[in-house]
Amino acid sequence: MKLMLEKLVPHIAVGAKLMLYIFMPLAVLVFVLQGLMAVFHYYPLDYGEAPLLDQAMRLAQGISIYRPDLSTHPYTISNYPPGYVLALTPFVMLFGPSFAYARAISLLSTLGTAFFLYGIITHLHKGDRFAGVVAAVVFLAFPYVVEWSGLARVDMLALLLSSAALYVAVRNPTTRRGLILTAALLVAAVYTRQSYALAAPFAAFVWMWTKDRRQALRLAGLVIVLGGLLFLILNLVTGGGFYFNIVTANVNDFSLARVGDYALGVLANAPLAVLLALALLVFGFRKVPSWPFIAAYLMGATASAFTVGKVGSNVNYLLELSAALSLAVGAAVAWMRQEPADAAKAEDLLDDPDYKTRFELIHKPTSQMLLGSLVFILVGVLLGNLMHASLTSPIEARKWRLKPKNELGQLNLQVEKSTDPVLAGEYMGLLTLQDRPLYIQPFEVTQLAKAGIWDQTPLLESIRAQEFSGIFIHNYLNWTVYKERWTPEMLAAIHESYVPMEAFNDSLVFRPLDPDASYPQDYACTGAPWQLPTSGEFGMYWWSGQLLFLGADYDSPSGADRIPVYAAADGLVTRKAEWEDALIIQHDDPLNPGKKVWTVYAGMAGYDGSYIVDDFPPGVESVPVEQGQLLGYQGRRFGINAPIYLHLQFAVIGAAEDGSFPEAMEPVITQDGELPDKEMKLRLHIDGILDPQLYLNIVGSPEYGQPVWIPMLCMAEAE
Amino acid sequence: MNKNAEKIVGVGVFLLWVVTSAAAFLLILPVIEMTLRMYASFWGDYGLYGEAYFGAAALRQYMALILGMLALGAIVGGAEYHYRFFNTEKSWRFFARVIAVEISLFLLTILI
Repeated sequence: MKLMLEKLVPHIAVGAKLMLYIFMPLAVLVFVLQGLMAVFHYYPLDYGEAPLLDQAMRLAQGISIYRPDLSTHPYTISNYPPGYVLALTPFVMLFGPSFAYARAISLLSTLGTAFFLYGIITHLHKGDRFAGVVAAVVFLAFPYVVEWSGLARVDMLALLLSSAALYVAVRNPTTRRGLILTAALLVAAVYTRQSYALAAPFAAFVWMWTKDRRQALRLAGLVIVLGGLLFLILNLVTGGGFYFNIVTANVNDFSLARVGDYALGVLANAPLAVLLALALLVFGFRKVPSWPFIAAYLMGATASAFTVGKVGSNVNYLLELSAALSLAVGAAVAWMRQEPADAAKAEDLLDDPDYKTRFELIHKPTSQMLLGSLVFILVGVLLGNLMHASLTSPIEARKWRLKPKNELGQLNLQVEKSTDPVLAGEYMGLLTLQDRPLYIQPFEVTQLAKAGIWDQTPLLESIRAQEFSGIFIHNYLNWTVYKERWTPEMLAAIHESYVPMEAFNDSLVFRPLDPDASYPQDYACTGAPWQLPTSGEFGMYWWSGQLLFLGADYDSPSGADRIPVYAAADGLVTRKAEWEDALIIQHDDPLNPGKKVWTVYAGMAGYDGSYIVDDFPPGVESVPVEQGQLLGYQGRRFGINAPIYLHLQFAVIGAAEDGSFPEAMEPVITQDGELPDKEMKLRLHIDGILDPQLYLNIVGSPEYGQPVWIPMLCMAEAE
Repeated sequence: MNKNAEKIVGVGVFLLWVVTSAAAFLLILPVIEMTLRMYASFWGDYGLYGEAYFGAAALRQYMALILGMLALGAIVGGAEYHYRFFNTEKSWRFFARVIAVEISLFLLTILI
C-alpha cells in the first residue's frame, strides 16, 4: 500500500498542479475581459466616478477641490485625499473629461497590485514563483476586485501604492533606502485613500520589527511625520478645507447588520480562502517564513473591512482583505510545495529507472506531498468559486449597465438640452462628460444634512424657485436609492415644483411644473368620471392599455414605503383565494349606462406578503366599496416575484355579457398565460382591456405591445 | 514482468484508455455549456432573437467542432502513445495528466 502510494502521489501532485494551470488562465481571462469592457464604455458606471472626474476638472482649472464650507454651491464634497485626482488631472488637461483613462488607471493599478503580491510571496518563499503566481491570480479572481478594477475610483491606485510599499518592505527591511521608499509609498497610499492607513503600515511595521526593531520604529516615525506634515500643509493651503472634506464631511450612518451581510458574502464567495488563511495562521506559526507578515496584514485588513458598515459603502472596503487572503493562499501553496530546485530535478528524472534516486531528492514525505496536492485542488476549487461569484454577480450586473446604450444616449441628450444648473444623481457623470461642473453630490450632502452639518434651506429654496432646468433622479428596479441620495425635504420640494417628463434607463427627468399643463389634483383629473386609484410621483408605465402607477413615499425609510391605493369608483370587490396581491371591482360603466365594467388593482404585495387591507381578505366576493376607500398599498409584486419598481398595476376590463369578470382576462392579474387576441375576444363576446384615459382623463400612449413610460398628466388640457 | 502479469497490465491500460476516451467525449457538451454560460454573463440578453443569440449559436458550433477534433486527436494519439510506451513511466504520466485535465474540466463545468 505504501509503495503504491509512493508511486501514485507524485502523479497526483503533477495532476493537481496541472489543474491550476487550467484554472488560472481562465480566471485571468475573465478579469481582463470585464476590465476591457468597462474601460471602453463611454457612460458612467458608478455614482462615485463623476465626483472624482469633476475634481480633476476643477484642479485642471486651478480651482481648489477642498472648500472649507458648503454654504454656497457647488454642494460637492471631496471626501478622498488628492492622490487619484492628481493622477487624473494631466489626462483631463490633455484629453478632456473621459472615464476611459480613469478606468485604465484603475485596471493597470490592479494588475500592478497582482504583480507586487506575486513579488512578495516569491521573495518570502525563496523564489517560489508558482506560489507567487497563485497569489496574484487568486487576487485577480476575487469578485470584489473584478467589480472595482474597472471603475474610475481611488481604491485600486491606493492598493497599488500600499502593496508596492509592502513589496519594498519585504525585500529591503533593514536598508535606509528601503525605509524611505516604504514610508513614502505608504503615505502616498494613505493620501490616495485614507482607509489604507491601517493594514499595510501595520504589516510593514510588524515585518520590520521581526528583522530590526529600531528600523520598525523609524518607519512608524517617518510615516507619522510625513503624513502629519502633508496633512498640515494641505490644510493650510486649503484654509481648513482639507480637514472639513476628509474628516468632518465624511459622516455616514453605520450599521452592524451591513457588516454581517458583507461578512457572510465573503464567506459565501471565498470560503476556501478563509479556510486556507485560518489554517496558515493556526498551523503555520514558526513554520512558514512569511507568517508574521501575513498574519499582521490579515488582521489589519479584517479590521479595515469592518468600515463596510458605513451607509453608502460598497465592496471597495473589501479589497485589502482580498489582497490579504490572496497572500495567505499563496503562502499556503508555497508552504506545501517541494523546493523548486528539487521539484525541477524530480520532474527531469521521472524517466529514471532508478525510482529510489528520484525520491531521495524530495525532502517532503509522501503524506505532505498528498497534503500539498489537496491544497492545490482546494485552490483550484477556490478559483472556480471566485469565477462563479464574479460571473453571476458583478459581471452580470455590469452587463445590464453596459447594454442600454440607446437609452443612455437619449438621457445624455436630455442632459445636453438642460441648461445649467442641473441637479443629478446616479448619472451626474453625463454632466462631467459634457465638461460641465457638478452643482451637487446629492448622496454626500444628504448625509451631511441628516447629521445636521449642512443647511439644505438654500437648495430647497432654489428647487422651489425652479432654478434648475432639469433634475435627474434614479429609480432602480428594486432599490429605492433615491432615499439615500436625496433628503425627504428635497424630494418633497422637487415634487411640489417639478414633474417627471421623461424616463430613460431607470433615470427620471424632472422638469419645472408647466403652468399651462394640467396635473392631477387630489387624485383626480378635472372632468374625469372616476378618480385616480393612487399617486404616481415617478410617472406611469403604459402597457397596452394597462397602467403601472409608480409611486414614491418620500418620508418613510427605504423598504417601509406605504403609498395608498384607493377604489377609483363605487363598486363591488372580489378577490379570489389565490390572489395574494390583487383584487377586482365591478362598477357600473359611466360611459355606457346599463353595462358593467371591472377595474383591476394588482401588484399590492411584496416579499413580506400582501399589502391589501384586512377588509378584503382572500376569497371575498361582491363586497361593497365606495370611491376613495382604501384598498391597500403599492407593492413590488409582478407575476411570480419578478423584481419591479414600487407600483400599482391598474386596468379597466369590459365585463362579460352576464356582467361577470371574463375568465380569459385573468392573465392580466396573474401574468400567467396569454391574453385573448381580437378573434378570441369576438368569439367570447368580450371587450378586453378598455382605454383607461376615458375613465380617468389621464394621458396615454399610442404604443401597444411593450411598456412605455409616460408622465402623469391629465388628458383634457394636455390636448 | 511475466506474461500473465503483462496481460493483466495490458487489459488495465486498455480499460483506462477506454474510460479516459469516453470521458473526453462526454466532457464536450458540459464544456460548451460552461462556455455559453460565461458568454451569457458577459453578453446575454433577453429574447430568443436578441443580439447575443446569434453570437452564442456561432460559438456553440465552433466549440463543438474544435473540441470534437481535440478529443479525437487525444484519443487516437493517446492510443498510439500508450502502445508505444506501454507500461513505462511515460505512459503512466500521460494517463495521470489526461485524468488530471479531465477532472479539472469536470470540476470547472460544475463550479462555473
